[in-house]
Amino acid sequence: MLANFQSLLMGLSTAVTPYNLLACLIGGVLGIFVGALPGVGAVAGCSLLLPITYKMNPVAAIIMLAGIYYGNMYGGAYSAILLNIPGDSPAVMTAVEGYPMTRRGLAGRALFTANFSSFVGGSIGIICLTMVGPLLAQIGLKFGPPEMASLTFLALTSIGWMLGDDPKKGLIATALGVMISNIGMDASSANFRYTFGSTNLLSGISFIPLVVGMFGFSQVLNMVTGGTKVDESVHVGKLSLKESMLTKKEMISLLPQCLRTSLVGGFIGFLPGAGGTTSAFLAYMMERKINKHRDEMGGKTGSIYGVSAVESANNAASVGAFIPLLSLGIPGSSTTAVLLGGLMAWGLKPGPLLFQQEPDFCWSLIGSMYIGNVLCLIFGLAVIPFLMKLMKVPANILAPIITVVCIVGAYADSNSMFAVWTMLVAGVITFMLQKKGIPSTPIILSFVLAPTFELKVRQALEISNCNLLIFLQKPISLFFLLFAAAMLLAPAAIKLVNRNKKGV
Amino acid sequence: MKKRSVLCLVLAAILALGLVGCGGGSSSAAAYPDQAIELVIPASAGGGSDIMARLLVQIIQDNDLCSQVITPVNKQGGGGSAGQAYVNSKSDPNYTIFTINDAHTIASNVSETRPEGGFTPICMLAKDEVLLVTKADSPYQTMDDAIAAIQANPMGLTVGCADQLDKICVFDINNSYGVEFNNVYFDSAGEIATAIMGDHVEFGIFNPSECASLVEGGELKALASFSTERCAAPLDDVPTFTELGHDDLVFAMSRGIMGPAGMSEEAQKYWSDIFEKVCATDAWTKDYVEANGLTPTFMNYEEYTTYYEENEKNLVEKIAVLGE
Repeated sequence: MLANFQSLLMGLSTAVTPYNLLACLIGGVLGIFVGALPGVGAVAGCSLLLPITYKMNPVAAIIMLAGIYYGNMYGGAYSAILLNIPGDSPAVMTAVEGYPMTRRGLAGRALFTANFSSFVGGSIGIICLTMVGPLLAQIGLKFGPPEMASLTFLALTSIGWMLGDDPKKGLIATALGVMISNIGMDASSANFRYTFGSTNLLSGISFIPLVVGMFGFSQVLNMVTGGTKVDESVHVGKLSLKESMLTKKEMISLLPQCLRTSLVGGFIGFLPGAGGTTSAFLAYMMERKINKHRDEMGGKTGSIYGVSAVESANNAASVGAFIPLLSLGIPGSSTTAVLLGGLMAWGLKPGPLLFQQEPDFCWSLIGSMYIGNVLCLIFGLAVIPFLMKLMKVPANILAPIITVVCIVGAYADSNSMFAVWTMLVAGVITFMLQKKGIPSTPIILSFVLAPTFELKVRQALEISNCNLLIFLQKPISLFFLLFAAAMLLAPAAIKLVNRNKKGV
Repeated sequence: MKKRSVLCLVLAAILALGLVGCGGGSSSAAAYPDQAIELVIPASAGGGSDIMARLLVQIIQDNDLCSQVITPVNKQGGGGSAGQAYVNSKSDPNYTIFTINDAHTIASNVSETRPEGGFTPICMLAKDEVLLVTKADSPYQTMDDAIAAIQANPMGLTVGCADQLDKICVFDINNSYGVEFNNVYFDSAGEIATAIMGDHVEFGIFNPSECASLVEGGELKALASFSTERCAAPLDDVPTFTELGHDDLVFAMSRGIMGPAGMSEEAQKYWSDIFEKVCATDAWTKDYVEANGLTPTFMNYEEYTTYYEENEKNLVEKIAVLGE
């Protein structure tokens, strides 16, 4: 570990050379912008810029691309909090917790919390990467199909807690999400499901148009029909950075939960095929159960504690995805897959020997992540006052602007009009569902989680020749299943105990 | 002031994005090509097809081989058929080309995105070798060990596959050796590698570029290759199936360039000539073919058309048997 520390110092010294520092800054700032624009995620940002970096030296190139990647995680929160449009899937819960705060005129505080927590989460992720990266990579290997299936099952069952006031309607929403996720080709058997002969549906409904429509466009419909009234009195005169800052006490109270959620998020982030969404969501659900301020979360008011849980977890997860990339040469997410392509194009050989063969490269990248996180934090805080100006824009001007952003975001996802139609239809349907009291968050979460669950269950069953016992025979899988069972039964058990008490 | 500049930046970004999809629709009698060309990659950014396509575009630009701009467009999904459906939707067949490999060829037949009369073959670029791989410290250090183990325990050992083509490979091994290996679908070769290293599956089907660094790093071990001759280092100590006495197990995945149905012969020849020049550059032979352990096999549009028809027929027959 001491050797690691020395290597890190060496890496830091490479990372702070003016050229690399500039690359880091450009990457971070670009990432924040790209992340804030819905539809253009980190994957698109990195793959667009990848050819440009071929001419740079590999160290500066990866520093810049990594900057885009984690800057994106900062930026994703902005559109979620300000416009209720999550830029990518981990930010769904940020929108649920952050946007209500914007409606109460507290956007600044939500943004500050997001930045602060992103910074803490990112930093903890990097510290883990530095100290125990290779060890974590080995632990990650223990998570095969049955383990991942049970973990995803745990995540799916916890959707049950956010079903809203009426569990029946929540279940309808969850089922809807699962059904939508089934559209398209079943990769395992190459059969088509619910495509009705349409070539547009071959690859299924993609996430960006769906989420932009369900969150962003349905919001516009709400505004237009007068369903959303911003409280005019609150947001005047509260636009400076100072007003957005959390108090020292609040920051200190956020720290322990940031630590918890970052560890959970970072851990799940480096598991094969889990990704930022599962980790952010599970960390958030954990906080909903154990946080001191859990009563404030998930309500109509939004809460800094909720925003913080999601943001620290997904930033830690985004760093976690680097662990398998650097230590094994296997990408842990679609963005790191693009970075893997970059490594090969720059003439490096990503694999178990990368740290031995190219120590300068690896440690400079890790060193730059520390610095990049600080740069993103500073830049993120500096733009808050400007972002806050959005709040002064009256609804009759804001609604058309959001509509344009929704259309462009959906179009940019796959450069097709079909995505725009998907977005509009999703928006209208969500608007109608909400009128009937059916919540939209379970739809999008089950949409994201169900395909992973299906794939992993099928893989596990194919491996075991259709023996269901495989889920119980693997200790890690059994643990998750028991945990899920306990969580499912706990509310009923508590009710029973309470009733008995009353009876006595 | 600052507020305005931020707004300008955002608006500019939105406008720029809007322009991405705008392409000209006019075509005149001027020499081909007189407008921008789209290179469709029917796979996601960062994958094998994507890396290859972007390198091709870069080489064409660096050597000024084409007077027009070539824009790579990723259309992933459906194992390649989403990209093909997109190609089919284009009104002018002369200004779109796309990358294809054998897995995509299968997808075009399974999902019926293969147009009436087929696509227009432009050229074959290279062949990607295929290997059967296991964990470095597994009990199966040779092909014989693996066969003995599966004979003792039919369906008890599993091979990870990333597409239908990999499944054909497993099917062929089972037929040739008279054994029953189980197979499991994974989303990518990377996921198969983690599953092997974590002892969740025993074997996997890989291309050299997908496993070379893990073999070199002592994590994985290749048991046999489907190639006619041994692969390049570090896989040069891996026997071919032919050496092991199974000369029916010879297979390589071809990577090529296609045009939409109805592309003019002029355009077909134009692109075939350009890619012939690309394949002669150092950038291609060193940075791609050699670096990824491929076998250079350029075929111009005439040779490739014959080859493609034959190859497609073979693949379709096999996948039909597999489906039963």
